[in-house]
Amino acid sequence: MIELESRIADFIAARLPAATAVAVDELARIHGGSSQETFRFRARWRVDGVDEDRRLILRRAPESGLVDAERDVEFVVYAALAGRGVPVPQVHWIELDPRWLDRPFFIMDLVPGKPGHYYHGADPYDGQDAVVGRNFWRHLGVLAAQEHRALGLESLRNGLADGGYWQRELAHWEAALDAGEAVIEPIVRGALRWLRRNPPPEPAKPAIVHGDYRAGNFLFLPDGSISAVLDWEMCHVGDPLEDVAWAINPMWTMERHLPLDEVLAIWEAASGLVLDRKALDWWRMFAAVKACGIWTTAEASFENGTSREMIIALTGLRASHASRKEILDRMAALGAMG
Amino acid sequence: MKLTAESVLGGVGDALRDQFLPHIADEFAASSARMAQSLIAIVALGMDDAVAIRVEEHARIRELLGTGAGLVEPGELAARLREAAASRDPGLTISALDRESTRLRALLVTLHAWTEEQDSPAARALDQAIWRALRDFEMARRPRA
Repeated sequence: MIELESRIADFIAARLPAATAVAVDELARIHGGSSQETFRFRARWRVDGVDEDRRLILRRAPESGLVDAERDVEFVVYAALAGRGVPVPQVHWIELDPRWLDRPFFIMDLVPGKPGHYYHGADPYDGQDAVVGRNFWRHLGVLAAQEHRALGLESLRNGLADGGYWQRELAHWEAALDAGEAVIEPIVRGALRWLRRNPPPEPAKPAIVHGDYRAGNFLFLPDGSISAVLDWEMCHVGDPLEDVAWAINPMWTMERHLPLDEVLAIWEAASGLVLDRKALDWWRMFAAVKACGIWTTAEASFENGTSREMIIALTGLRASHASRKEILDRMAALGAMG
Repeated sequence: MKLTAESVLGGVGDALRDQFLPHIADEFAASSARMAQSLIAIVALGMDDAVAIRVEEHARIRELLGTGAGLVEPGELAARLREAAASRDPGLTISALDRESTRLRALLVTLHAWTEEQDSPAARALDQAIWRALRDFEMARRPRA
């Protein structure tokens, strides 16, 4: 860690040529998105006689992880969404040259707040679950209302497309399954075929889709406000219902904190869109397939040795079963089993 | 008494929790150790019946493929289905059984897709039987920790 602190200090000094006495300490690895290595640290420097003392986050590309993300997606989205009504950390620097820290990385502010994780008991939000829940859905609605082209986000996946979002995303995750599956999963393949046979309507508008909008990927404050929405590695342009369906996935659902009808009304009010419940059902099945794609990528990266993160192996074993079980439950509800 | 893989791994998991974890100060490392303990438990509890689960699964897939062979038009697919329905597991190691799983499951996916394109009660019944079998396979293989 001391060597890494020194290398980070060298990088900051290079980016702040007017700064002197640049020092980095208190570096600690934290869990924060399983697709990138996350560290918190303190950085100090002096410019024109003024001392700066910052608490910062380093997000470094892993050798392998849950998803294969474009390395600059998260940084680009954070920068574009600043001041747009969706709370995100302020970003400072991105570096794709591996000479500094071996792999691409970026540095952003450490935002106050704590993650209310879905497996932290019955009260993950310190008694503020209803307030947090309303803010969670309001922010997602605000995100859906953004125009990605106006924010310069055409570089996101599907950013230049004029439609066909569900086909594109389905093909994206089918390719991940094809690449990662060691033993083919007929359950997931059956769900893929069902999704193609029962297509959803085109979205009312293309939206910025967070891609992993769920409990565990935001920070909240004691008053129930959300200080930051995090982990945008899978951000792309698509149907805003993709995020809605993902957020109510049974594995991490926010649904248990507020009735579904209430949260969907909050989302509609904030987005200005009318939510199609039948289309939402399609996206819920899609969410289970997408989850299987993610877990398959995780499983493959642990199996081939490119990842040695315990959470990667655990999701490969445990979460993949939960997602296939969800597909089975949905297919049973559709009458597939007689 | 003879130590089994399950009891050894269970003991290692317990030691990780009781002997090592209390001495890990770093939050990230402690969290990783807890997850390692869960992984050990899942693997330990999945060892004893791993072969039996695969052998039973293969037998049921072969039965479904045999049913399918009687429904599809005579031709290349029917021949492949018949051949697979009559096949046997090549060995009892997990690696050999998983290779056979890959082969049989790929054919099951092909047959399943075929049933979905048909408009006959027999194909519909087979489609539903495949989904029920897939549910049973998944529950048999569920992580037990």
